[in-house]
Amino acid sequence: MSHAITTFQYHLTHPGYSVFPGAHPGQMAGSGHLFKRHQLLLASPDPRRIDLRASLLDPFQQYRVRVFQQHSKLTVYVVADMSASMHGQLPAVSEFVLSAAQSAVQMGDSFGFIGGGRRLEHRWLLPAGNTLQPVRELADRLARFRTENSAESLPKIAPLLPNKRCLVFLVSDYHFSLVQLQTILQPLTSHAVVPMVWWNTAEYSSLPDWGLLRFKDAESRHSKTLLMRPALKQRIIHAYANRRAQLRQGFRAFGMEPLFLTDGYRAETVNNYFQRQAL
Amino acid sequence: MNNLAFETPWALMGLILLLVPIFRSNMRATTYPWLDMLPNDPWSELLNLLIRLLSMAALAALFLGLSGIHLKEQQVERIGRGAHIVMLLDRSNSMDNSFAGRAPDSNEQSKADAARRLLSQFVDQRPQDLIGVATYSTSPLFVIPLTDNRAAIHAAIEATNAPALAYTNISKGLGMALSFFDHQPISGSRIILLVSDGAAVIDPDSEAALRVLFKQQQVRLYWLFLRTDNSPGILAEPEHPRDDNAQAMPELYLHRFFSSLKIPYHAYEAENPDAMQKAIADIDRLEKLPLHYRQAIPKQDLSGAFYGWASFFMLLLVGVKICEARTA
Repeated sequence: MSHAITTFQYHLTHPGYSVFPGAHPGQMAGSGHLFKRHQLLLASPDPRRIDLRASLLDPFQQYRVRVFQQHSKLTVYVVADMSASMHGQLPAVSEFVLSAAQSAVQMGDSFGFIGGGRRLEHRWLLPAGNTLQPVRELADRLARFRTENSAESLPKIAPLLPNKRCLVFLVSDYHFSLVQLQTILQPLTSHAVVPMVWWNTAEYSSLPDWGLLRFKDAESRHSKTLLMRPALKQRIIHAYANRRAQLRQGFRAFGMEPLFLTDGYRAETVNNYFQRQAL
Repeated sequence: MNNLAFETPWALMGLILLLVPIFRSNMRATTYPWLDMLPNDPWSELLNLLIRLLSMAALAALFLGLSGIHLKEQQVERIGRGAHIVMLLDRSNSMDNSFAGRAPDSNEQSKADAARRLLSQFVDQRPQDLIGVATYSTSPLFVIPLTDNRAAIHAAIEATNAPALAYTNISKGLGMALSFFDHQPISGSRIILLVSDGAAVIDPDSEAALRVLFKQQQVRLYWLFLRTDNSPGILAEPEHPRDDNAQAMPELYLHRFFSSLKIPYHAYEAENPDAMQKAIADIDRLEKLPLHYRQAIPKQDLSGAFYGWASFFMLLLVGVKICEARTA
């Protein structure tokens, strides 16, 4: 990567369950700034935090200790659709993977990657960790990856994610049926999922106005010849707008708000998203 | 279509390539993530079908052209009013003389010239006849078989322009004229038009053979006798019984022989070109029976047309290729 990796700020509002301290609101009681509750000294044996006033007021004459909410560590996963249809977007996706890894490491979180092709392959699985080097290697391979398969393994990725709630960026072009979308999203509901819908404008709004075009499906290898004219182009753009609405509806049914990206990756878009959403 | 034939039939194996446009397209394909996103467009589908058909048509025309497709020679049956006419012309020395029996001077026509001119006109008047030409002198000369090719007939009549030959051997000439009708369908009337200025003795053997042939071929005979001045005519009766033999009066004996054949026969005695013209007009009027004949249409080479179609289709395909849009 010649240019600098841009990072983005992400945060979750719902507390996580991680035992390790980190930068995100957690449910662990520990050394934080936010007062959570009083506990008995036996339950939380930290005499430095004995609250004398609360102890005096306690009808059972027990020592009461202040307990603070400990910020906990988060695990960030990027789950990428490795099907042939993603081919044009993969360089941008690899850029995003680096950016997300960098952001996670900056926040002290761990970062992992799962690539879902026709099968789950070992080379596209990166367990959550704190180091950037394996991510760089993976991003390199990702940018150069070529395939003709579809992403049939996406519904099977849930067991690879941690049990605890983690942040999942689900990157795909979502060029599959809404039924398939449901089977993919269903197992992921316990996590904070950011569906990233990544499209290429060359496929709809940047099509030529006039001329003959032959398109070959990246996965099924069927082909279709179109006589392009402004009316047909409008219909294609309209079809994409419809699809956007359908997808939004499909994601919202699972309490997720999609993030639509076109062409290259820009960290500001992701920043924007996190400022608007409360995950 | 059973009259289609091919020069190099193995080139037809190329027609297997017609399957290629079904499975492949000549257009550059752009990879598209999901075709379901593209709306169905009937116009595009129609155009796609047309392009494929066009490619197949171009290939088919090309390979048919390569295989040297042609129409075989064909026979067309035609019905006309006319006859099969064999002109049997006398080429003996005396035909080059005038009707007065002299060598022709600048004002006169020789008998042969007159006969040629009038026969040419006669041929022009009867466009649907099949006409053959034979001449005879000491031996018969085969000139042209029965044909409807006017130019060839005129040329054949003109060919008798060459200086005349020796004697008159009419029996051999008649034998050849009759042989023209061998292997010809009997349709319309069959005519032998004998043009001569003299006769000769026919020996008994030939006579018997000719009788049989005339019967077999069902021929009508017209004898145009170009009579020279002061020569005995066909119908002249001998003045003295001593002259009543074939050597002395061959014309009379030939006439008697023809009359005894029991076939339609008519003799015209012409003493000048006008009388001869009248005789020919007579024949023209009489012989107008319906006639079936076959006309040959020569082999037609179709590969040029197919190459033309192939280039036309390919030009269209090039046009389609030019219309192809480039994606970013």
